[in-house]
Amino acid sequence: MAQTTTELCYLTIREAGPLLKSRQLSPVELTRAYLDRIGQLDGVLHAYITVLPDRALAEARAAEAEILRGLYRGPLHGIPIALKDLYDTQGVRTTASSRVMANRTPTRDATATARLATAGAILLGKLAMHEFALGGPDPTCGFPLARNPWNPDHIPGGSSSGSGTAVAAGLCMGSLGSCTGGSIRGPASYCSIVGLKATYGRVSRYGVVPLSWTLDHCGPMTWTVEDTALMLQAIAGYDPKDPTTSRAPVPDYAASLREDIRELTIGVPRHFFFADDPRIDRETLAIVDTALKSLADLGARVQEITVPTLPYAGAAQPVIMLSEACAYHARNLRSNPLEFGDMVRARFRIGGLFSSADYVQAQRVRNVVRHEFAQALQKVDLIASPTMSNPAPAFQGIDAMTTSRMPSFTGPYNLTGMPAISVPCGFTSKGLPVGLQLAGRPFDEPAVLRAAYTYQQHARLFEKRPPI
Amino acid sequence: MATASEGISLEDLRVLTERAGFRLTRDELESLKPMYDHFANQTRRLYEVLLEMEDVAVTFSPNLDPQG
Repeated sequence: MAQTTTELCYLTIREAGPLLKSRQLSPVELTRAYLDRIGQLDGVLHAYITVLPDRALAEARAAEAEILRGLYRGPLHGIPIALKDLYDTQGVRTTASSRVMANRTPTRDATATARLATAGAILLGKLAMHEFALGGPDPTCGFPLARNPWNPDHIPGGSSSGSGTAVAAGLCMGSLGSCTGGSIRGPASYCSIVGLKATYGRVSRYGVVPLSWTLDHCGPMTWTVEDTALMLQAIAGYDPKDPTTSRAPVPDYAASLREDIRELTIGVPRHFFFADDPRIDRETLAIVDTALKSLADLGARVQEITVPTLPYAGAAQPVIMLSEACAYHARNLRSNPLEFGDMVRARFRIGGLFSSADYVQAQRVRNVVRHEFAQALQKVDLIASPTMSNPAPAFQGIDAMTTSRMPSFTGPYNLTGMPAISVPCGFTSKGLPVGLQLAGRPFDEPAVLRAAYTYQQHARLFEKRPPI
Repeated sequence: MATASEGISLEDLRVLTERAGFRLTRDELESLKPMYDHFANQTRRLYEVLLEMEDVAVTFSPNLDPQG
């Protein structure tokens, strides 16, 4: 089939799968198209830390041979993807975007890496990220900073910055991010793509460089909700190598996407997410309000709810995150502090200055927040909000505290472990994307995905690509 | 993180950082102070939440099965 590089690279996983299976499209042709596009655009966008042309083409040839023999593995077979550069890849440098790990080459795959390979996905390369997955682009970290394809003067969000940029710009068909306070949903919102933080314990973190053990989550980042469902299917499930993974059965995530949302009730804690706070962008709120009206028009019941302790979540999350991060990095922070970029070094040091009582109190508040959300989810099925309190900031003027000064709308769900997705819902007057966040009961990814899918099919923002 | 409302003194910050195992220059301390003050103010809010004895931080379940 005759398609341009751009047309091939803008296919979704759901669209490409049947073409690959029926041999109308070759995995080699598709992989070459992505490698060409990376060569054309990544000099400006800096989505990749490492590109793997030889390995990707070898994997594509192997996929092509299997498919020709009738050994089609499923919807990810022959699909070119890329990984945030903290997912271990056997024999491929994995840096976490830090000089501390600049020469680190793992001897085994992360479980998620291995599961995607088993599903037949083709690894194009490793993606840029904020150093050690801590939010904030730091020019002193020693690695290029990914740019937002909607406006390269603005950040793509983080810490899964390259994952957001690459998917939005058509530099891979899907990616994996990781999330400790919003590092999947944030770049998804800023780049107008879909990002899902799965329930704590749903996706193995074995072989993923940690930031904060009790807050870290993994999940897919893709152009559509349906593609997110397909990628989640491949990576979800119990892993004996990760003691925090759940033995709960893994449902068929794509199967229920098209079911009606009319029986769903969506709660909105307006007292927090729509608060009269000058730090929250009013245009963002108006765009999300329009999205909520659309969900109501589509049949969902949308009602206001209260989560009383939610305003304290933003105080608890950084104490836990930075304390745990400091524990992990303490040895290097003390012996080789200059190996860290300026921003991360300062914030990790702060993690060493909280008292043990602060950490314990933060965990206690976390449990109260979790309990209150559990109570709310007895009355509603999902909770909706803007994903981010502001559109993507410009690079100019960013400092180590920029993200900390903005209210976090994503961090609460890292505290509770609930599944949460960001789906594109509009653009500001300056052309910057805005995301709608939907969170659900633990392990109820199907409801989260179904509502997000229904909304995305209605809003059809997947038809609009960045002006690159 | 008990600090005065106007922020921590550089001397107190030096003591805290040394206790954490970090040896910072005066420039580094001055650079770290605004960030410390921000998080200290934020962290103080955690103690505004009215918690009961039952509001525990973590739970612990001894697992007698080593295969767990």
